[in-house]
Amino acid sequence: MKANEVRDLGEESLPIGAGEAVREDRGSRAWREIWSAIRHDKRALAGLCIIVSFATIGLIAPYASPYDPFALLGAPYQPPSWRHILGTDNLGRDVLSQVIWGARVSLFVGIVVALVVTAIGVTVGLIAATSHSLVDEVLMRFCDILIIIPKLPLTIFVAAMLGRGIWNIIAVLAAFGWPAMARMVRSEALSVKQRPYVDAARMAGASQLQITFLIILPNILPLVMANAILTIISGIMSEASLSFLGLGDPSQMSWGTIIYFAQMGGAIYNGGWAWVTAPGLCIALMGLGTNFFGSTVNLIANPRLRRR
Amino acid sequence: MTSDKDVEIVKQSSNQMFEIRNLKVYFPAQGGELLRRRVVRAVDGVSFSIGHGEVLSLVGESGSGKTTIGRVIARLTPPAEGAILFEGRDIASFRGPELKAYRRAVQMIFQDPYESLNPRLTVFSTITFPMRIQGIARDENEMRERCIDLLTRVGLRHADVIDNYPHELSGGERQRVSIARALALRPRFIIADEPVSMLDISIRSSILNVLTELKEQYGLTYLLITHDLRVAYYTSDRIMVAYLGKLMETASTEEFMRHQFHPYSRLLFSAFADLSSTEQQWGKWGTTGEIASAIDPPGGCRFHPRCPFRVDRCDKEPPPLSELAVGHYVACFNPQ
Amino acid sequence: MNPALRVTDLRVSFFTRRGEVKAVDGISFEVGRGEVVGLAGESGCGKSTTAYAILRLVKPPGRIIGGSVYCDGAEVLDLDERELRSFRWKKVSMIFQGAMNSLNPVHRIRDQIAEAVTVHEHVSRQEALARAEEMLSLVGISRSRTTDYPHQFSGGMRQRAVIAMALALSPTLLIADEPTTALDVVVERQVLELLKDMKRRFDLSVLFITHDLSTLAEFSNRIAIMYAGKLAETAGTKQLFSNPLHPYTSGLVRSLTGLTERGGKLWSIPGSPPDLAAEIEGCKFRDRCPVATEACSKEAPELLEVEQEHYVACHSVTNG
Repeated sequence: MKANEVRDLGEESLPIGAGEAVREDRGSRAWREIWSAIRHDKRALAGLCIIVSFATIGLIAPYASPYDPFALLGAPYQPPSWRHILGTDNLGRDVLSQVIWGARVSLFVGIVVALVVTAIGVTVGLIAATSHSLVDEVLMRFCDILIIIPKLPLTIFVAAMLGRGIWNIIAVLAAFGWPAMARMVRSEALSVKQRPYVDAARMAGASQLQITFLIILPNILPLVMANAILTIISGIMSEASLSFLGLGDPSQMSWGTIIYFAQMGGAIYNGGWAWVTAPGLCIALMGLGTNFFGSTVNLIANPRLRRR
Repeated sequence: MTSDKDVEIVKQSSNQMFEIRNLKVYFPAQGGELLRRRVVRAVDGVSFSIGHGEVLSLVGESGSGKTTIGRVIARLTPPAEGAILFEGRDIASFRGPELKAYRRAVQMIFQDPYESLNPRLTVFSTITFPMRIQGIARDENEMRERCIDLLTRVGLRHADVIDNYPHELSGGERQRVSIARALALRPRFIIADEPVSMLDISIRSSILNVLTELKEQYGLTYLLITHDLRVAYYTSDRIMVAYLGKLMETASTEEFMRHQFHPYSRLLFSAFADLSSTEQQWGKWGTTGEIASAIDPPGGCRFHPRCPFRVDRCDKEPPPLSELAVGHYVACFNPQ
Repeated sequence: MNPALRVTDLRVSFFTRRGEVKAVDGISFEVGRGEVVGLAGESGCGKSTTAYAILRLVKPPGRIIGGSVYCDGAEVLDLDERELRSFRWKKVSMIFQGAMNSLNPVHRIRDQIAEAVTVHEHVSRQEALARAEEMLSLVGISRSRTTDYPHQFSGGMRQRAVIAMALALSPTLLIADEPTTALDVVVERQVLELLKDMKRRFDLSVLFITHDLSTLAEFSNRIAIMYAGKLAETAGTKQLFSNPLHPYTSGLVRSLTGLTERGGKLWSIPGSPPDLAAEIEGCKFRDRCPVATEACSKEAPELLEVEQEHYVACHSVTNG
């Protein structure tokens, strides 16, 4: 059956003759093209800046933070001043220090969750897409079950059983996060599997394993990476929600736990407006950054989009 | 149901490169009522052979099963029944090193120049991928040399394209790269599935020229799958017409062009030659209808609902392939 | 008599990071009432862009930067939004490349056509449905199939449904962009016969865009050959095939008919179309032209009338 030859208008009008005659090293040329694409896209650049800023703050938290976030420094509910740029909380702790350390913890949670979710999701998704239909069915039904289970009650249960540690939170978020990634990887992998160039690889004698890792995986990479980045922010926000509900780890100062303490300590009634809004603003900004940058991640692995 | 006659025909030519015996390929059908297993009878009892050094065209509309036949020979799709013999051996039995050797010997060119190249690989990587998988070529330099040679043979200026990505090339260039990739392992047999149907008319002839030249240079045998008789006419030694999973007629190209026995072949021929006399025979085109469903094919001869020459027998049993002239086989109860 | 369409010096460019790509670089042609004009050329020559420009469907980074499109008494490039809406589909309609993409997969065929009618005309839903049924039967789709979804139709049937949708409002001009490209040869014939039939029935003017000159041979009255954004030659169909003057046209005609014996080499035009982003001095065909001269690299040739109704843009032809 002849496929339909639909190309968007831009491509039709740009007849492409022979490519450039200059032979360059393939690897570096690819990265240069990507960087150039990012540079030209203001949103992507803005997003990248935001993410990098927060990441840096998180990394250098021990040095950037003016005080120990847990140190009781003096008067509670101080308004913003030169000594305490964001004021103090109900126990006299410096809010700015908390927020800075919060970047470290929240990002840590987000990134680890994203890594685990991606690792498990990609593995399961690829197995489902390239295996016998029975295996596929079983895996997908399992995913469905995990997606249906009400997460909040289960988290409370886990927290009650295992205690309120940061790793428990990460574990729960990752355990519930991977099915969505697996589903998406599977459907994308299935679509790549149909392409003639996969058939061509089979005709070259490639084994199923070689096809999966050398061909399918690279071709689903753009989508995987875009989703991974979105998982970071969703991890941060989920952690914040859990912490706000009191399931977080009180020994760690994440943005979520800051909000929790603020709520517990009656910040709103006591004039600690910076205490409440600062962490929330950080979460929102981080979300904006990942959103802006996420759309450009496609360029990283999809050569077709780089030139325009 | 295999016709003994069909297998006979095949047996006569026993030193052929390929023997296809009573091939049947069924796919599960989409939808349908619950609990009712429906199958698409894509290929329903096809037997033929391919000789060494031959260019055989398999001509038919979409739904005729021609692409499926190609894919089965390529060992991309398993048959439900029947056997494919390569140099006398059943390809279904190939494992390990035998299979690897088969993969080297048999290659395929695909229809869609935009989807048959991995968008993430440069032309160099695409062409050398088979070499790496099979472990031929000693090192990077040799691979590069071979790649340059292949690109030149398919008519591309290698320096211009070798490090480019597919999206930087035109349709014709991509198809040439596909051909170069198919040649990377020095195959003996190439299945070309609609190699030019998605290219502009004006460049089709140059691609067909490339295929013909390469046949001489490499001593290749081709199975050319197409819906366009013009392509078959210009390139092939022999033509086989398929309809809805069965063969209708097969003859040498010259014979076929001179005279087609089967009404369906005539329909194809008139679309190709655009003769007004055939239009009189067929009446208005709208009445010839469309190809029927392969899930519920018509009983008897597959073509009988559309056939203006049908007789009583045609809806009762499928006609066997019979030799009506030397080397000219037709499956019809009322050949013209 | 007013022509159905008069395009004058149309210019459309795409402004990409690589520079300005002159997809359509000053073309002029006419489609008379009840006439079929074929616009032929290789992929990327700008013929589809021309069609989109006529309907003002060119999307950024493309922009119509000059010229005029005069259709049925109105200057299309000057119409405002409201006027444009009533212009599209009622005066000029289009069959796009790839029927699958014109049809909404989640709506029944008949409903889609009816919707096209109600959007443009104030008729009741019953009337619109009746009109849809009528159009579908005209194109040979039986009543029992009109309530099917697009995926239940074969390729040929979908193309016919798209034709029905395009003609539902009896436009003056129909633009067909590669209507038979994705179809098998037999179905292609059926669709062409259908188009011929519809043209007769509705007294349509048709702008038929294709890369396949052979389909134009029997269907069009006049043919315009486009190359790299410019017109190379326009002539009546018979004239063009019997006496192609522009080297590109004769190349196209030659590669079609294959003047060699079977088994010999098929003729084809060497080289490939130029990169439209690059500035090319003179005639854009000169790199592939067997008769290029000095003059060809200095100045781009103009489209001049060489015989009765036969225009060519070529120095070798016009200068003898």
